[in-house]
Order: sequence, then C-alpha cells, then structure tokens
Amino acid sequence: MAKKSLIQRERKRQKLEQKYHLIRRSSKKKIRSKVYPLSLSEKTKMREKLQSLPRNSAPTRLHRRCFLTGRPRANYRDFGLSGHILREMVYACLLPGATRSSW
Amino acid sequence: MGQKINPLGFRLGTTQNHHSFWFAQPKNYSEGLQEDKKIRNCIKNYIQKNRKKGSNRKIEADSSFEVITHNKKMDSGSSSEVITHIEIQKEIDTIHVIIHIGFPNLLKKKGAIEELEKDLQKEVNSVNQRLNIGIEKVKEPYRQPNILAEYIAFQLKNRVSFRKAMKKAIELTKKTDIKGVKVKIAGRLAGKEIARAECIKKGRLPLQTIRAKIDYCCYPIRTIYGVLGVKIWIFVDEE
Repeated sequence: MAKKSLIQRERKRQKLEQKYHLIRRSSKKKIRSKVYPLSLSEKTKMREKLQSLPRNSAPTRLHRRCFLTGRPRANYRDFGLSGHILREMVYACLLPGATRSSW
Repeated sequence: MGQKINPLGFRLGTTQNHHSFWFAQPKNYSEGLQEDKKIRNCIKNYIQKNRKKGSNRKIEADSSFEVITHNKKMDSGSSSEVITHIEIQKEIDTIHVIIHIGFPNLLKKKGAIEELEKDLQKEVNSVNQRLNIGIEKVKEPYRQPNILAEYIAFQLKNRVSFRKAMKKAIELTKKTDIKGVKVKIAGRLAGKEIARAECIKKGRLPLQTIRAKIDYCCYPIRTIYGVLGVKIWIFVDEE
C-alpha cells in the first residue's frame, strides 16, 4: 500500500492532464505546422502560452500506479495492476480469459 | 516442503468458470477491470450497510433449508446474507450483474434492487450501458466454502472453541452431497502464546486432478488475539 498522499498527487496529475490535453495538443500543432507556418514572434507567443500551463498537466509527469494498491513498481500495462495483486486476482477468477499453464 | 497451488486458479478454463466474462481491446482491459472492482465493492458495501441496519430486528433463517439450532443466537446470526460470488457479464450496451447469494432475504425486500441499481449506475457512470442486476439463490448454501468460513468466523468471534466450530462446519456439509471436505485454521488458536495450524479432513480431496471440481476459500478472521486464517476445500464432484 503506497502513501495516500502520493496516490492523491498522481490522481491530481491525471485530472490536470485530462483538462489541458487539448490545449497542449493544439498549441504544439500550431507551432510545428508546415501548412500554415507562423512567424517568429507568433511562435514565441505560442511557446510562452505553452509554458504558462501548469507543469503537472504534462503527460510526461504521469507515472503508472496499481489502481488497487497504488504501488508504483512492477505494474503491468495491460491490467493496470502490480504483480502480486494480479496474481491474487487471477486465483480469485476475476480476470476474464486468464488461465494458468500447467503441463 | 511443497506448496499447494490455489485450486480455483489451477482449474480455470476447465471445471472452474471465470467470475467476469467479457471481451475488450487490450488497451481497454484495465478500465474493464476497474469497473468490475467498483461494481463488486458497491454491492458489498450496500449489503454491509444494510446488514448493520437490519441486525436490530430478528433475522429468520431461510425456511427451505434447515439450520441446525444448536445455539439459536449464533446460528441465526451467521446465516445472514453471505455472497458467494458476483458474476459480471458485459455486452456492448448492457452489463449483467448476477449476485450468487446464500440467503437472499435482504435483497428480496421491496425496492432493494432498484436502490442498488441506482447506486451502481451512479458508481459506474457509463452513459450508454444499461445495468441489469439478477439474484441467484445458491441451491445448497453449506456446500459453498465461504458460507462455511463466515459460519466459523462467527463462532470464533463468539469464543466458541475452534475444534467444535470446525466439527460443526463439517457436520453442516454432511447434509449436502459432497465427496470430501477439509477445514484448516491457522493462528493463535484458543488464544495460545504460540501459533499453530489445525486441520480436519473428511473424504477425498484430489487436489492434483484437474477434472475434479473443487471449491476453495481462504478467509482471515480478526480476533483479539490476532488474525486467524481459515482455508476450506470442498470436493464437489468429478466430471
């Protein structure tokens, strides 16, 4: 079980990323556009606008955590779970399609 | 020293069915798991809340199944509202939730299903998917290991001796037609200083045979001396 404060920080980052996702994407597209190229001063203005967004809204600040326990390591991307919670849930028949190999 | 594999996980795909049955793109599988967990938690919290509310009035045992009234207070308390498992099936526009419950007196009340559906709809907050809750009464409740585990837990919390509780649980399974049962309790039994494990076994229990249908439950009990673990295996049938 991770600290609740760290879990809440991560949740805040997720919400901020969702909130500013479209603004970030459209600003980056405008800066990099070749079809409608911006002038240098306009590019500078657009970059300043990008930099004024909150830092926690950057998608690179997100970190993958287990959604049940909040453990930051040994997480599987396909399940969103850490390793030993994944094992417990497989044995409790809660993951559809998961079976155990035996021969 | 050999370790025992979980009998349910070992038999998944052959004699053991999954409790969640749906398909998803690998990208969306995790969201489906989170949704399942929310649904199950909501149902269990609802029953927990209403069990506390309903414990003031007298809880009557199900009349179609005879409960051994060795001690009336203990027996009637332990046989209330135990969910054996919650089955979730998802289609494109519907989520089917089937609650397999041993004694569905609480959920049979008027308006309970609608209230639970409202809670679930609020919890899941999916706009384009309908919820469909069904209740399935378990045919033989004392064949289910977690109903037995709840029974033992209730006895141990009321200071009944652990050996008597184990024997009583095995006695309850004799009425149902099973081929083998094993009950194991580990921990500080009877409040002793040093912990140990006690085990009672009746009949056959072919744990290595995949086609043998075995039901299993692992259940921690909190007492004032610490945590006791109860494991129950029930050999139901052989295909």
